[in-house]
Amino acid sequence: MSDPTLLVLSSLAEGDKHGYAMMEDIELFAGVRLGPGTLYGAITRLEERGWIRPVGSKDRRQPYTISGAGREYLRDQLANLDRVVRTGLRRLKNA
Amino acid sequence: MKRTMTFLARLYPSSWRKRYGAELDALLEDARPSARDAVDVFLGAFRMQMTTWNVGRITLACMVVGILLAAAASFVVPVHYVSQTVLWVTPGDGSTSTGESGRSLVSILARNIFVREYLASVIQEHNLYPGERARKPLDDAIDKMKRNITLEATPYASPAHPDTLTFVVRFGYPEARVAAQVNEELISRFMQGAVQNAQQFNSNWNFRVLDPPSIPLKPATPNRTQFAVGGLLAGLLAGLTLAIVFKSRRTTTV
Repeated sequence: MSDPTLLVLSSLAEGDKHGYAMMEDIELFAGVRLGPGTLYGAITRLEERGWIRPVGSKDRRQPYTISGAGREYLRDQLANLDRVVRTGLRRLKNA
Repeated sequence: MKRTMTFLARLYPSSWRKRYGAELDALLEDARPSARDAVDVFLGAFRMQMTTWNVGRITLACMVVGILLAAAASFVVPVHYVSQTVLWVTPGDGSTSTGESGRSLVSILARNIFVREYLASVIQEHNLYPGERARKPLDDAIDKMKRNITLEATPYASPAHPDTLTFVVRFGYPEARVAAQVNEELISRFMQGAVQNAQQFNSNWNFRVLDPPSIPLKPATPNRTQFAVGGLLAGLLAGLTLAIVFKSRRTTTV
């Protein structure tokens, strides 16, 4: 899976994080290193849709949190993905 | 790399930088970016610019880029000068020759020009295509020379001269003076053939050089105006396509 928006939402599902922490976390759990441009492209789109929002901070390293709508969207997408994965695995097993 | 990244981060739209600029700068300081990250930031800035620009601005920018690329390409394309000679082929006084027999004569004389041995001797005499001949056999240079020769015979549309033909010989070469010299050589070969074949055609034809081979002052290619118009149109097309793609992605992509 390499969809940056799903990766960012999955990372924030664990807790609030700033950009660099998200990059590190995503690399750890998905094995994908998002470039800074890709990461901030995803953050911009997700904030516009109200799926994440910035958390008050005095530091330049701005943390983000996932919103209720963001959680809902992530749940739907992961359920779809899960269905595809289980179907694929079952078919491979029966083949 | 740090200065490069600072410069690339400045390429984002100013409205975007007001909101996210400080965070992105902090991330770039923490992440020890690589060359791959630099490309990623550049592409991110490009995408963000595209989403903030309106259709007109994207199209205009692409048109400017199209003209600049076309201008650059026009300087890379090899220069080609074309020397031209125009002949008038008319039936002589009291002759019963027709335009049809004139065309047959012109066709035979034209074939006479394309004889390989003759072209080989012209190539060697004028030292044509030295680069090609150094790398490839002479036959390749002969084929190239054939492609650079144009012969055209068209009826001269005048009620006073119904059987007159206009015959045009063109030769293109990267050097203007050489193009004119070889064109002159081709015309003299044509005329020699006319004298030798006069008996065969049993007719009396007059050949008059209307426009002698002159040294072309301007190259025929590259035509910089054509390049600029092509670049402009390609830019217009690319700009509209890009604008549609980015605007549709803005509304559909998460």
